[in-house]
Amino acid sequence: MKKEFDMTELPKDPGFQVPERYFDALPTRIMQRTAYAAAPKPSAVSRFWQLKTALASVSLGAVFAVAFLATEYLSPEPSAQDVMAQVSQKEIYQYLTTQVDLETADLADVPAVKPRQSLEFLDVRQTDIVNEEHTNELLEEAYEYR
Amino acid sequence: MEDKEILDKFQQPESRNLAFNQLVRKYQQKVYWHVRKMVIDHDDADDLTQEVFVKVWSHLENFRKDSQLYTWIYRIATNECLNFLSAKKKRFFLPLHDVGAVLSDKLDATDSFSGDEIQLKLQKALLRLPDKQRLVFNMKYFDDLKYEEISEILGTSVGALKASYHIAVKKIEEYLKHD
Repeated sequence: MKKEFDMTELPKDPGFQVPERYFDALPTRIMQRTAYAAAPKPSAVSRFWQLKTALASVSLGAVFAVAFLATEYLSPEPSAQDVMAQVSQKEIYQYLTTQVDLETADLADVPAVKPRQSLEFLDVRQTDIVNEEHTNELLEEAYEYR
Repeated sequence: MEDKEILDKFQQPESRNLAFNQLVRKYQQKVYWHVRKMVIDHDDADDLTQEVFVKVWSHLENFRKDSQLYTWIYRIATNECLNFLSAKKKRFFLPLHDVGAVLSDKLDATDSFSGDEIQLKLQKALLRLPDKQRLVFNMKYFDDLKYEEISEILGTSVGALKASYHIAVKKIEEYLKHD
């Protein structure tokens, strides 16, 4: 007589085998394809923070750029030439004669200075120059008569 | 490590790899055996198991904690199996029962099946079932999952699952009686 079918007599083990130490090696192989292969995509939250940081940086840069341009063009610093143009020649001369230690060669760079002012600066009298001219003339005459 | 702890650690970049490693170690055997019972061949099961965890890695960040982690992983594994079997049928232009026959031949040929005669007969009986019915039987009989858990994994009502399991048992009984 054929035995009645009984589910409880069926095996709970399906009967398959795996290669030796298969489950010891599997996690490493999976990790190499996932975690160790590439960084995970940033989440929506981290993308939001990245975007926020980028926007903050750009905004800060824009503020600095606007501030620089405003300083440069809206209220420009007067140039040295503009400043000097507002100072009279007399004031320059007075400054040079009283406040600065100058050599005679420096006066060559000041075209506005009149010869008389140069002499005054050098503490040379007009009569001394005349005498020098006269002396030269006398010397030239002396050479001619030799 | 509890699932909640794994998920919390996965959210932290410095402990993400450690958490995922723990997850793989915890679920690798469940996933592998779930897949292996469906595709029979070890190499196919190995490939699919890795694919399952690659998908888990990619989508774990978006995992909604309103379902349990292991049912979510089971669902991914189940979808991988069904897609694999469907692709196999399309690739070889095989009708359903012939896929079962191909897998049944693999059972005879493979050296990685160590079961006795009754285990072999049971597997051959299972391969005559439609894929989804086989899934239900495997999860209920071999994995001891509750109908509610299978319902969450397959998205099928508990009533339909009970009916499916009952039909599967009857078919197996019939096959084992007469074969």
